[in-house]
Amino acid sequence: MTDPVLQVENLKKYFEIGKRQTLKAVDEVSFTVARGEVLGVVGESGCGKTTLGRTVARLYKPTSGKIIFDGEDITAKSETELLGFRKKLQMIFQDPYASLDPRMTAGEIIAEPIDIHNLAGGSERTQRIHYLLNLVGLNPEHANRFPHEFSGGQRQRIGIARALALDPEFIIADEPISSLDVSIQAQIVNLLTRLQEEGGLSFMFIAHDLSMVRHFSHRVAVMYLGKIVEIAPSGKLHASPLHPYTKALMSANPIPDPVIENSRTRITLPGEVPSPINPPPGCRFAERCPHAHDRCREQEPVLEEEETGHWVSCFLY
Amino acid sequence: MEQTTVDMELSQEQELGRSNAEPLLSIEDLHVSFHTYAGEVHAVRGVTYSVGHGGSLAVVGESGCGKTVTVQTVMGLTPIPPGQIKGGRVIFNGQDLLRLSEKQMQSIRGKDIGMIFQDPMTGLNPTMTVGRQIAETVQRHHKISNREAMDKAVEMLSLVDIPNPQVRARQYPHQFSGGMRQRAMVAMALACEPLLLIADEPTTSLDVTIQSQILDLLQNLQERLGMTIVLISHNLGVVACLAKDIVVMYAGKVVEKGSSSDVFCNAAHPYTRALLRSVPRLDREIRGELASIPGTPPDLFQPPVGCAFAPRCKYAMKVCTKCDAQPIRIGDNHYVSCWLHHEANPNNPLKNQFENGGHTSD
Repeated sequence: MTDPVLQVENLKKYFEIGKRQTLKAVDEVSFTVARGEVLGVVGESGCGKTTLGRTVARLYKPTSGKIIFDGEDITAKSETELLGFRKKLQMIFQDPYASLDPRMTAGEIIAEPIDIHNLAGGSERTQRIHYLLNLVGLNPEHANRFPHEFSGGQRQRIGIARALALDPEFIIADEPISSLDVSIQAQIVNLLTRLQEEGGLSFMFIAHDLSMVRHFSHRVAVMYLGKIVEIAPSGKLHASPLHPYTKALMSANPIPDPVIENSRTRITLPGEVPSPINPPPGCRFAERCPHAHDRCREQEPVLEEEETGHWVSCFLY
Repeated sequence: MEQTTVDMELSQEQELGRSNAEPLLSIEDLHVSFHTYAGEVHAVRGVTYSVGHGGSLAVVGESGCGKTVTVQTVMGLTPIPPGQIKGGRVIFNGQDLLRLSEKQMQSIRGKDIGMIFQDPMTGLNPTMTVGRQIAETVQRHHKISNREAMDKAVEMLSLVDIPNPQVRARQYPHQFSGGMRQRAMVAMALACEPLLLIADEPTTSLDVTIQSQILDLLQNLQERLGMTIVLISHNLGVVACLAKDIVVMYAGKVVEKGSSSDVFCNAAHPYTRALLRSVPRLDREIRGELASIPGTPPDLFQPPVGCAFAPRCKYAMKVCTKCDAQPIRIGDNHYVSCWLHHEANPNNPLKNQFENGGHTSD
């Protein structure tokens, strides 16, 4: 990979939950994101994708491992030392209702990062707010309104404008569209695509909707129970998925076409995602895997490069 | 074991139902409003659709389009006030549900019509065991002992493929996972062998692999029990997989209805077409911009005079903003409410694509 903007090595985030129990939310995860690249992260609820995003953004302190951003190791930095890093990396959150302060106007919300970093004041600040509102498809008049006066899609646009306020290099978008209606989802994804292409931004796009991830991402990482089980260029992953979990995940996604839907057979996985509290040894997917054999229950597979750029963690390969 | 008896009873009931050609449920020109401090919300503005015995109908639309309010009215679950049924009829099995008293509705609700809600956690009572809740539903409509009712509950849990139904029946909802809770909801809805099952966003709160399990279950039950299903969903994939007939709603009105292949392959309303193209598909490589619909749905405090979709529609004509289109028949069972397809419109821009199978993008 040329010029990685983000390198994550063996990242772990464990939560101690009393009685000597550990919730291994993110366990030994490694990946890189190149400058201007969109890495999609997919997985079901509880797979650790949100924790991964938040740990990379240093909203959580990693248990171990390394996060290198722009050549700088930020794993153990203190809050004050992180200020410069936060300017370059911003987040967009899932719930546009909960992530905006109801007592601040849209303008104040967008200006908050500008104020924290002392980037602009007076008319320059106002201009910047208006520029950002325009950029995300809102009107300058919207600056004086409060979040409750906006629709869900518009609120998410405010969240995006706030993330863009500092001209970041990297954006972590955690399920930015899952709480929106279908026709609005397309608007937001188009907006993100435009911003990404025009601004050369790098993205970590966390979502559970495979088709949207495929549409927006250059590369996709599939997570299961705290681990990346497969990572490949988007087209390749969808054309020839290797890991049995990826295959099942794709097959489970119903296609909006009755002709295809009636003629194909879905791979339906038995059971549910097991608890990440003290997970069993061996491959974490073994319990639900149609191809599991004894070795899978004893030994843990590692992520290996099967074809160029296509990594998979499974004993079948 | 006892599952076969359920099957038999249901198939008998179904044959009785099939003998008359009338649809099982028919909603006619339903109008529902809500009175709020801000004014009157016209949530449902003249909805008409029907579903026959053994049919499966899906109602598709975005949040706030009135799809849930419509079926809540069918079930008599619309809170009145603030709600008000301003007109229309709901004919179920030959009788108008809107004319029934609450007491009469209680004997139909849960017995003849079962319902699955979106959120299985709020749909279940957290202070009662799952088995007890299912048993309660059965005892409400049939005079049977507690023990018999519990046996029935266990039988229903095994029908929906819950492992260890004996043990599970004695557990509380919080001991169930999301997917299991939804199965328990399905079990409860089916406990009295209803003629009609209404599923309101049954898989929305579930993960994809669990959604797939519930879809398999519903498909299976439908095939085995010949159940009539009304499915409400915004997920077009789920709809394509379960429904034979589709109703598309926008801003409190039905804009298009037809068979699943009519709507998916020959979509005639600009809204349906835009909706279908705004979802990226896993089986197709689409690069570049997604077809999005500009703007947002209208405010139903003051519903527009003409077609509600006109402000967002790229084909909007003068007539669209002045007068709303009536349903126009364009295929066997395919209706669309759009002026483009009116016989007085000589150059319908959708017509050519429409005849080409509708797959061409514009």
